[in-house]
Amino acid sequence: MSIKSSELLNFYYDDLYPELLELEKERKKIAKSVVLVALVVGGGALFVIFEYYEANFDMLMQGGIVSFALVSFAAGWLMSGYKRRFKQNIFAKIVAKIDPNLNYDPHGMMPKALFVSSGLFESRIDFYEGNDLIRGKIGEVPIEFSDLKVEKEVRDTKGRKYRSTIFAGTFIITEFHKNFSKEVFVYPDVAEKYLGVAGGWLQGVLSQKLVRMDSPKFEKEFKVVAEDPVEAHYLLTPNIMEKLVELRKRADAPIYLSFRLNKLYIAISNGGNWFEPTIFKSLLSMDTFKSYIENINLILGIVEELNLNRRIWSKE
Amino acid sequence: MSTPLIVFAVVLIVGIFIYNTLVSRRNQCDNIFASIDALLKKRYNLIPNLVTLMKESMSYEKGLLERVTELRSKALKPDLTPEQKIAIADELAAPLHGLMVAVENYPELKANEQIMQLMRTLNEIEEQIAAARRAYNQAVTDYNNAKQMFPSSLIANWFKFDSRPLFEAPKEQRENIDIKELLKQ
Repeated sequence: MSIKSSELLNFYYDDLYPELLELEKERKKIAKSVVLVALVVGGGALFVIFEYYEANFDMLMQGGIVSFALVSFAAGWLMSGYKRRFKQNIFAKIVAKIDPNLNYDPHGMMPKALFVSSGLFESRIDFYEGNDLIRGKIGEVPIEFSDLKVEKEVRDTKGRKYRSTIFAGTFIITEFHKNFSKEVFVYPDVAEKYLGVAGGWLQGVLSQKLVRMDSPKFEKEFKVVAEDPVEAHYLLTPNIMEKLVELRKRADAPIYLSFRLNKLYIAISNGGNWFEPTIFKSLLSMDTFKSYIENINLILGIVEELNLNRRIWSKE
Repeated sequence: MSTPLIVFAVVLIVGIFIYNTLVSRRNQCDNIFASIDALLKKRYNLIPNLVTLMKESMSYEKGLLERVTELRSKALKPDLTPEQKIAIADELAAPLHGLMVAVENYPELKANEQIMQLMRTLNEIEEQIAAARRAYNQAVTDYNNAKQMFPSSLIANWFKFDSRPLFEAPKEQRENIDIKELLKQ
């Protein structure tokens, strides 16, 4: 799984570079077109508003929203071929290079039922989409992950409908090497991070099921909800808590975990663009290329780091 | 309503709230201690089987086997205080660990699936015990903090909330028995 940097460079120049050069040309064209469309749409909207309507704040806001939707739609349409080519010719090769046993499906996604069964997010879902499904085994342990965008429809105070994001990011399911009968949930800790001790106290008061863990660093980043504090300490060993704090730092995004129904669910709320091609940044940059590899390795590393590979326990 | 009455009502409500928090924290400690107790019993229940299976093959570790058996019967005596229970459990950790390591020297034991299964179960219970102790110590720390901090200390003293002891794990128990190495041989 770990690739030497010299090997990485060879792989980049021998296997990807010719195709990346082609794609980079396409990317530049698309970026120009998107900017052009944005200028035309934005300018047009401003013209219409100032010419035919009263230019108040509300009107400008609405014009902005409509223009943004139009430009996004156009950008999506312009980028679709480019994205497809990138995923088939570049990203698929990167995945295969990292581990030939991994199976990559650019159009696949985690089934909705599995997302719901994590129990981490609300289950009233109106829009569910995803892509970049990667499946495989790390040693003996099966792992499966994809990008997901999960939304619900809500109305604002004026009764206007809009989509509210439930989760946008990478969703991972894997097995856990320990037997457990009760559920344990790990959420990003907002209260304690910003309110310190008072936040921790407030949490304790508000929720009876909250379990305080014996690692101050972990407690600062996460909060644990579990029926049984012993089970929570059993699953979250000092070592695992340390790894999760590290993962949180490296992913630079909120992380959710649940130990449920004999599975470990991990949701990294990274916006869901870890595996997408860049549009306003050069595709040829080494950093861009490395970030794809690092992000996949980060996810695969979770399995290794959480010691899931040690299938030596009584669980068969 | 007059001001003193309002103040009195607020103080009363806060007081009740603090009292309830203290009670729930104390109950939490006791509940978790009950889990430790249950896990220790589970561990003791495994021992007779393990000793019987090992006795035949282990010629050099008779002392360890006897010590484990002896501590087990000591631990199963009724009316032990929590401190005594933990002390015996800690005392048992060393010879039990010794037995698990000693298995390495007996290929016929390692080939015995029943013994290996027992070892795995034992290892899992050891981990659960370690986790339960961590959970217990955390709960006791929270309870003691509430008991000592103002203003809940006032109510804790008033109603004579008693302390709960911390049970730090002894060193040999913190170093997990590496059964992976054991099985690899």
